[in-house]
Amino acid sequence: MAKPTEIERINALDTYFTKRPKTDLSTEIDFHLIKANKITQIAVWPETVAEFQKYVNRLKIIGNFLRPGAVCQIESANFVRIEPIKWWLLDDENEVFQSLSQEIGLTLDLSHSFVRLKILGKYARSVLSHHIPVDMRDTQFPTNKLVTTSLHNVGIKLWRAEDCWYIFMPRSFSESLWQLICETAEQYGYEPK
Amino acid sequence: MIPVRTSGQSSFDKQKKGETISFFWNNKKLKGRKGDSISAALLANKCEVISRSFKYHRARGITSAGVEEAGALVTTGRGAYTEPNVRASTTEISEGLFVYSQNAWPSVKFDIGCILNLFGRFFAAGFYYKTFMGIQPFKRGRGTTIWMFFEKFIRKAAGLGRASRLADPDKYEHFHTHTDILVVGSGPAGIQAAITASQTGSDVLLVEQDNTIGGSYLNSPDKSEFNQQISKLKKNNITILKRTTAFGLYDDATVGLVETINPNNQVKTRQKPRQRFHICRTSKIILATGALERNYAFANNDLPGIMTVSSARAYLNRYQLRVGGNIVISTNNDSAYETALDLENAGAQITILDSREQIGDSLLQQILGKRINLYLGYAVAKAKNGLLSSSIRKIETAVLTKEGWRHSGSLSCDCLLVSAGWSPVIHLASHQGCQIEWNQENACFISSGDDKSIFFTGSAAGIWQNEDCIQSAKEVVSKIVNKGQKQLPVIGGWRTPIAPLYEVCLPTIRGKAFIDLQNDVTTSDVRLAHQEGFISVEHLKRYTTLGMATDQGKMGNILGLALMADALNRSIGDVGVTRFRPPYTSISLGALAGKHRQSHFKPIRRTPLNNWSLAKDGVMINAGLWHRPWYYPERGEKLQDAYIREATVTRRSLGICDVSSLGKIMIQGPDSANFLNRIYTNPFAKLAVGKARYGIILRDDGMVFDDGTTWRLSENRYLMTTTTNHAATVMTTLEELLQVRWPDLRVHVTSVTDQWAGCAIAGPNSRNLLSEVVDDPGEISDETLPFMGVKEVLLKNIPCYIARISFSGERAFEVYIPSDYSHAMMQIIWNKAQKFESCLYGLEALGTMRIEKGHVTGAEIDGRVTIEDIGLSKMASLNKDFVGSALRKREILSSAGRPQLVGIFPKDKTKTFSAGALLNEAGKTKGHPLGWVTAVTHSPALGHWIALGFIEGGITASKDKHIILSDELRSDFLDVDIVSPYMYDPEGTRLHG
Repeated sequence: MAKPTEIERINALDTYFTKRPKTDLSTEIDFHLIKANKITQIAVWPETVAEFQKYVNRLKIIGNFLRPGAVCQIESANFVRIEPIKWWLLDDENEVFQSLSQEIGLTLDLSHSFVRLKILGKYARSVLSHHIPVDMRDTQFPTNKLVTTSLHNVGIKLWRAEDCWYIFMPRSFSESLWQLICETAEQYGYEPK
Repeated sequence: MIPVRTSGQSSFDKQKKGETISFFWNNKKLKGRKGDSISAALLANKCEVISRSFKYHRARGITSAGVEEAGALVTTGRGAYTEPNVRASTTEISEGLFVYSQNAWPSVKFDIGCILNLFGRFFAAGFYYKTFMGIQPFKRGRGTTIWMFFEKFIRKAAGLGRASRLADPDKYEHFHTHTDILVVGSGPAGIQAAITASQTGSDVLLVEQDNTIGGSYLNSPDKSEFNQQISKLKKNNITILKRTTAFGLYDDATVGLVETINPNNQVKTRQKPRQRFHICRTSKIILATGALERNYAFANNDLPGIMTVSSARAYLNRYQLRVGGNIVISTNNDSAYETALDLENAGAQITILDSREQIGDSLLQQILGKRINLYLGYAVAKAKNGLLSSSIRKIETAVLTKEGWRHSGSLSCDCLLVSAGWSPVIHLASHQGCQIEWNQENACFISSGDDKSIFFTGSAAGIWQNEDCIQSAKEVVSKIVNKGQKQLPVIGGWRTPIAPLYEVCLPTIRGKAFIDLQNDVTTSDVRLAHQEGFISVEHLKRYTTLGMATDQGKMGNILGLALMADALNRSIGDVGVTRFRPPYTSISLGALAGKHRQSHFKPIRRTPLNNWSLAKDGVMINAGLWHRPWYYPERGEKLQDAYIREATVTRRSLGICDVSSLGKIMIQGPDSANFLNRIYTNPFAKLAVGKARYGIILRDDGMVFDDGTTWRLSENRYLMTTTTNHAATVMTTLEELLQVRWPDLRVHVTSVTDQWAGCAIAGPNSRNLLSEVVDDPGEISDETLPFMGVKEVLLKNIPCYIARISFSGERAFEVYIPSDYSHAMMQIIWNKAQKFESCLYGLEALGTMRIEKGHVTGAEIDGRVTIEDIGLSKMASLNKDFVGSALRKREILSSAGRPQLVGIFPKDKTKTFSAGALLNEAGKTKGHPLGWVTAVTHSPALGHWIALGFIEGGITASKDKHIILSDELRSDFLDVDIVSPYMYDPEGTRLHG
């Protein structure tokens, strides 16, 4: 499809991501809404994984992209295997898989399917632990790991980046989940930024 | 019982020194010390009768200082904050806390209900079952008659506290906790286990249900060892959760913990939850849960002023409260002597009745020269209250002879402390079915866990001496970490062996002897159960209610088993033990629900156009998880006026509807056509690029599963739409088919429901509107975009798909655009729509138009209908196989009498009717109906109410019948005509414009 240019994207949480009134209480969690979320799904075939590997290795990739859930870097984008034969390319500005042959794999834009929330601060992990059953201890969930899990029975993806956590929520559930997260974060003090 | 505060301050927590707080007991203002439990504060205020018992309304006082409390159950809070059946022994007082006695009227001191005690013989075990037998020997009233009469009185008289009928205003939440080793209990063994485990580099979580850690350390006057252990605990990286109950053990070392964060709602500065439910996943669980001291059965053993020996020690050393001045201690084991010495040191006169005929020299040496009278071979036969008091004032004693117990005399006292042995807390292991064995030597049940993830240490393992408990903790951790077969310390450790003591029953002495105070179960009840043939402990439990409910047999279980064993002439071990059930101590349902309540009971899905619809005054309705526009009222319209207007305007000119909630699945790959051809009942192999086709999917059993259109976007790329309701199940079915049945097909399926926002533009002016908004109007002409055509176009520079499909029966289009652009799209479309007579329409008008057209939805496709039943048999290809094609040919599914989809008109066109009503032949409204109504609406196009439904044999079979629509619930009966389901524009001329 033609690439839209002038029209501004409106995130599902745009109207809900507002500054909170100032209080004397400390703020231990910051939320950031990634507005221009960009996700491309690459799905290959079981018999073309090796060819896909060759294709990817030609790109400047940092990390083991064959390892499930290991977030690697391709140029300025992040690349992660989310299912046995599916990968996600995040934040891709250069369309690095534009030349991928359909014989090897297929791409699909999912940028509007998910709302991406960045969570950081002293109690970022705590607020997530209220809702996400995954073991997020350092030993079990190192930096640059991404898992598919659930939040309030909704399937989400959780990524631990260098200094923050990202969650990818299905767009239609995002407002409901955001309200839930805010209610939980209230006890720690939070600020949407 | 004359409790007095001793001169000492709380020695384990100096911060509490001198702080007094006020609370209310039955609305009377009392003072207590900060850190006091309700029990301690009530004792300090000389409140002896705390509640009335469950069945007999007997006066009950404080019987313990821990979770085993069965007498002092109270109600805390008022109004919506009311919490019944709170153990006074484990709940802290707080400033302004309201505490009420339970099950008493007009007051706990003078309770009318105590008259039931006089008629106790009529309320023996299973009395309510016996009411079904009628009055013997005539069996008069046999059945439920007598019970139905008495039930309301019994229910009013019996029971514990009453919960508030108001919604719980407190907040609760869940937390997922992960650790390597979980230690439950923070007594000497628990603390040591946590320290040792932490030193191995493991993540350790130590949980304690009390408001402070220490366990039995807190009850000891000497705190030196405790202080040393605490400093070690602080030096190690150990997570400690206080006020946290490990209430249940579940599979794979998952433990349910409930942490009270904000007791009595004290903290109001932040949105602190009252309780937090931790779902704790761990590798190893060390149960350092300690042991509970038991009492034994003797007449009136439930009088206020009787409590366990260890609880008196706790009140003395933890709360600086001496529970009496003239105290009798009845015991069968060594542990009571420490308490006797502490109490004597605090100024009490002590008499020890030890059922053992001999004790070791070391014990004798300890009490030598103290104001302690010792009677060996003695026990209590009966407790007696005073003339003007419900509390104990005197006991009848019994002496052990060769023939058994014999009455020996009486003693006056103001407090009786009882210790008839210790029961290790093995409840949590029992939840997981760990083996439990009777240990005759120590007169208790012991479990050694499962040797994989559940381990016991300390007195929970039946180890009694403090130093042995600490050693056992070290060795358990060593065993876990080194995975070796290390020999654990030998259980037991009494200097003089314990002498089992379960009951003292003299033929000359009368009075109820209780074994389960919470459930008012007496020794007679157990014997009666045996007499009536209940020989299994599980049956005994259910017949007598022994160990049921929140008590879970903490105090009375072993006594009941001992009596049963005696009656059966078997050992306790042979009789066995009932399986304990979670929760170990009662927990609030609010904690389990967490945030799954009110608006978060289930997550809500909102379409990308949700806010846009709200801004246009759309009224929303929950449809499954989705929040969808229901109708758009104008000038204060009600639902019916609004949807009729919306449907009318749409049919006359133009209507716009948010259809984003439809399921959307992207199907990609070279075998997609083949895949779809196998999925749908109708052919899809040759669907051309740029075309859409309506299709039906069956389940394997041949019943209709779902329907929708699928659009071929390019050679190997299809967009399947599903019904809103079945989107997720269709998606998982497709995945399953690809992964399990047809792994050879090169097809990928991905849900893109949230990727695309959709709106339907319907009505005669739909094309005119679209011509105004798409960049190239030529792309949507009748020639370039005919019925069932699909186009990828730019809508004012926004890329989108337009399909010419119709659910309303009008010329219509569905426009799909990436969700983040949906507001822009709708604004453009809506602005241009103002040139025409137009409206937004919601789910109700959508339903009206589809009913008029006879289009089926989830109301009709309810999992019980075949493709023939809904009149679409022509869509089942005869030239190919598809999912469900084999089993749909079953004879039963093609019988002529099956219900068929039909339209329904009222004979009197002014009448209305309701969905869910039944269709019957006149005069045959009882019994199995001929059919039922699935959907009703007022049809603006036809000018009267219409419905869709199913009737046996369809229109043909109903032709000569007088059909009545019967709505028994509303006493509504109506003559109807059965007509074709295609009630409006059956030829489809409007569809083509």
